[in-house]
Amino acid sequence: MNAGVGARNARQRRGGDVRDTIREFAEQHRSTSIIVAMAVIAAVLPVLAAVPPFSLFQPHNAWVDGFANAGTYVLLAVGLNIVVGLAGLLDLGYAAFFAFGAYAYAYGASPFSHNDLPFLPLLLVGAAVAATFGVILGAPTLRLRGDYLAIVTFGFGEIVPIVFLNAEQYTNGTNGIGGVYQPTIPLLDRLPDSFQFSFTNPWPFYVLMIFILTIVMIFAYRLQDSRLGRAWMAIREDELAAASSGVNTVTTKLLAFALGASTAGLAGVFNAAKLTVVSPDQFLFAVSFTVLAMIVLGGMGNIWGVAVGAFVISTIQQTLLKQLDIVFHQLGIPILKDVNFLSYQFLLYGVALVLMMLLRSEGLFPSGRRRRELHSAEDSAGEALVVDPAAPTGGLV
Amino acid sequence: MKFSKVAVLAATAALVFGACNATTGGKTLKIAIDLPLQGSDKAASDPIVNGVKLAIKEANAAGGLNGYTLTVDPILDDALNGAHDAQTGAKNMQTAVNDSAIGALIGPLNSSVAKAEIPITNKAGLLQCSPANTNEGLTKPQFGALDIRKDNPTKINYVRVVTTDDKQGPAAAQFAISVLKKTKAYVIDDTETFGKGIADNFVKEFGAEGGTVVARDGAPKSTTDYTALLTAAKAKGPDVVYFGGVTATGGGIIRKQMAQVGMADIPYIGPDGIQDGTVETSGTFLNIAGDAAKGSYSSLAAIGDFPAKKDFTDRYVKEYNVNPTGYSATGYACAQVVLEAVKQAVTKGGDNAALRESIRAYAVDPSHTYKTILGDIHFDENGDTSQLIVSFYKAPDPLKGDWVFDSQVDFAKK
Amino acid sequence: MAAPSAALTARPTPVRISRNVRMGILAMLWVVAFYALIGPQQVANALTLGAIYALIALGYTMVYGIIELINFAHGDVFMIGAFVAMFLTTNVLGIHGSINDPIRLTVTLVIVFAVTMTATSILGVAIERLAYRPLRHAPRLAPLITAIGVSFILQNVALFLFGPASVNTPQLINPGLHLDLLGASVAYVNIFIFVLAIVLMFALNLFVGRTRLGRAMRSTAQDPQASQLMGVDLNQTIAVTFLIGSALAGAAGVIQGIYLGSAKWDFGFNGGLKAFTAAVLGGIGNTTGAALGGFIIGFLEVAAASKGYGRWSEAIVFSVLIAVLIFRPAGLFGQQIGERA
Repeated sequence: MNAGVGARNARQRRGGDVRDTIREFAEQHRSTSIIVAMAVIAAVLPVLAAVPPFSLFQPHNAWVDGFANAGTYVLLAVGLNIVVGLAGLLDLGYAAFFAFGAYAYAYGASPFSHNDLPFLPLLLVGAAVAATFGVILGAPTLRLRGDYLAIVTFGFGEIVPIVFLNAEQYTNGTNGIGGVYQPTIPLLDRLPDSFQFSFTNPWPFYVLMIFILTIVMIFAYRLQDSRLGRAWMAIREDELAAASSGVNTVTTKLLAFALGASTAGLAGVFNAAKLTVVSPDQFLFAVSFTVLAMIVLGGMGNIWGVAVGAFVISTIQQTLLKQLDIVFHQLGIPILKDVNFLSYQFLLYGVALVLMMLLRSEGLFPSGRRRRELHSAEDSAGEALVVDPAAPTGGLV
Repeated sequence: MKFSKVAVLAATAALVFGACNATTGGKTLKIAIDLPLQGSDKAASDPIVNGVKLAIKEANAAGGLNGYTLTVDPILDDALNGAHDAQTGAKNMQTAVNDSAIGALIGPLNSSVAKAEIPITNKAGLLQCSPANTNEGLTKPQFGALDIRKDNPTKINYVRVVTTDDKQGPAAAQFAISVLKKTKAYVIDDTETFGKGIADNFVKEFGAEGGTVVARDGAPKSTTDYTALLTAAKAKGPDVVYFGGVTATGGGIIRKQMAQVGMADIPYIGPDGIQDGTVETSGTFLNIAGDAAKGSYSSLAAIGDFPAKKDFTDRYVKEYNVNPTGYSATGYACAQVVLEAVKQAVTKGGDNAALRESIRAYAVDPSHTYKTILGDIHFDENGDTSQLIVSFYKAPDPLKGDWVFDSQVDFAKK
Repeated sequence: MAAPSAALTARPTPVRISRNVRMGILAMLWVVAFYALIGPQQVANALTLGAIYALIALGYTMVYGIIELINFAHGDVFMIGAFVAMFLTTNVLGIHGSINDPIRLTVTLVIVFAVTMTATSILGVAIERLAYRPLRHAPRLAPLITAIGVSFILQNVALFLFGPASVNTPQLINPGLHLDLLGASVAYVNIFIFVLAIVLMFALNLFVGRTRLGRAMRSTAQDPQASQLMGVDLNQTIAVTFLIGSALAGAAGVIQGIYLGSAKWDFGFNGGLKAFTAAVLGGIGNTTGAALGGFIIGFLEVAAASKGYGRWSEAIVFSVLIAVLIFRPAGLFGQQIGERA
């Protein structure tokens, strides 16, 4: 028995050693490890989609298409993570920046606008437009504290789609802009047809998304590890102390908004080029809420955590919930077989959010720092002035 | 330990899915459906699914189609979180076009979803028949339809058996002026694609026919209190009200509150979006508007009084124990078109890919006429039906049962 | 805890009265202005809409004043109130339309209000106990996210129980009965709503100003630590705050059902946010401000609708919210709050 326990401990230690080695290597060679990781993921996912039971859910191309869509949400999550997770600014209107990116692309490459500009520059333009609006919408919120910031950003998130809806001359209003051009990337034109962007070939989109994601992830980690990243974490924890230590809260916050928004802008451009339709009802609070749920569940502050969280939730939303429905229906489990899981997604998100906050507010894959923060805060003696409600009255430090 | 649990789960899942994907003997062809099956759209989609299934069932029972049995599979849901979603629809199309056993697709319900789906099915050459899309921009080049079928602009794949809003809206205007003899309209829309589009069409025609639009308002579907809007409108003295939208975005509530502010005597006209069932069924326009429904009219972008109606109703009731409502008849008609195309295509033989192409080519050929329950129709070079009928219904009086057919306008004869 | 919020402070009596009088005069001027601008008929609509917003706004403002949390789920408590009233009237009491006999009407109304308000207050206290209290010391983000989560849970429960379409709610007071008043044809139901709202707000003011629990609420809002030192039971006080706020939201829900005749699973969230705008406009933490804010938002919406800006009405309300938060975070009637850390 003792030998068993000893052996298990030794195995755990070895496993821990491996994890630690990987983590050390990753921290010292960030970009390389990200590129390697993304390459591995990019190769593994399509293979996984080709084996049962996954291959039975839907055709392989539909899986790859789904991965590309999930990539959009991963981008959004990484971006929102910068604003909410790193800088601690609760932004409830994030979908507005997604909209700006999408409409920027639609304005640059659609029959409606009579423009047909190439994709890669428009990708940067979309990011820039979104970043600009990030600054514009973020500027009024600089003096606001958490709750008010949330409400103001929510307000912006409501106003932006209404503006796009009513400004018919520029946005074609409620009809939306259809027939948006798919990406054209010079040089790639010379490749054979199966490498071209088309409506029935999801692979170029998949590969493009992997590229964009890799670059964004590298940037995100660089930002996190930089002075700016530390400044963000400082204002997240204690703005006054940060300001006293010389952090310029104004520029720090504005940069958080701008950089977070630019990621959403990239996602918007990609999404518009893939779906080829842009309309205001694609950018409602439901989107902001979904992305927020993704980063909360994934582990706010941890870039890989939110990426994984976003991917998992997106895949569940697109594909697996449907299958769950089918399984329960086929197996005839009482009560459950009559529930249409698809209709109650937001119920599941709501329950998941509440449970997460109550039980594990650092998320499923928290950064080590976050976990220490959140759990040490709960038993910190520094909070002694607030009386424990369970203790008899008069119990004070 | 953990691993073997996962393995067991995976194995079970594989068995379950394997079982439902197993095919029976003989040659089968799949007809897919793509409709929103959640939330308020579900009430509109269910009759369509029923109609299609009935048609396929009857065809199979009559001996199949030259050796092929048809199945209605998969029934794809293009809704996300309770509302139709263009991206989900597009993703469903990836599933549809990549499954070679699918010969044709029926759907979607919403024009905004169709805009994202048509480019995909057009490129893949998969026949798509919609029983309910009325937005003119999906087929007519002058409204931008070529932008969404860029890959095969002349080798079309999308057809529909209902007529378009550029007929439905003006028909309502003509109905208001010639039949109801009203000249001052108050128009309110729900700010969504369908509602605003059809309201715009109404306004244009109403003005062209000599009427005046005293006020034009838009109220998003989150509005609960229309009394302020209606009070302001009442002050302008309209003698008819046109609503652009569906029941779920406020159609019934507006009529109810009209009565509350004292406009109950003013007739109310709405598009096919409010023609969704009987007084007794909860959630329909007639049910929500209640007593105020008196004096309401709704249009249908299809023939209302077709010769085969009684027979169809009997067969539908026998199968499903409910009356056919909404787009059940057009769903059935779409299925009939597909069935005919399949029947002709399979005689040419070939593998699934060739079959898919033959089905598409046969269906969209303007020289082919289809004997559907709606009548004899064929499609023009854009995929629009030759039957340009808009029919009008009146709210029943006394308030019991379904809408009552009133009259129809045949644009083909104009 | 940080600096005190714009609290329900006890001021020396003379100042409080004259301030109320000032606000009352302003309110009357406002109403007269609108009477001239948008017509008497619309004034009636605005007062009714405003009354509903005011009742919901009170809940938001009280909760924020005491624990500095925006209770996103509050709007959905209002929605649940409307459904409870509907269920009670239609399924339990078997009434589907208006009641004309005044005695029977009064009895029914009393029952419906009492039961609904009890139900929603229990719901509010339960939400606080289960979802917010464990997170009282957690970082700011956590209870906010939880509140959003609870909101979606409530919405989906209503969706599950009552379906996605609008549900008819009995309009107990016959909406067709009118009174000609000052140039407008005002329905009895409008008068009832306005009067009831004023009575409830007055009762709330009395409660907060004169009772022990009310005093406890005010002192906790001003300085939680000090009030605990004085023997105030924090948990009980917070629970009472939620209880009253949710009861008022329930009353608003009953009113909405009676007035408009329909309820839908998703109408709480947006209406709730507009009510929150009202609370902020009035000065968060200030109950009189919240009430007045509710009426102001009601008037704004009606004015926008009557001038043909219906499409923009939501954008207008949210713009007001943003403008107030940026330029005068204390709201119209609150104290100036200093720079926040």
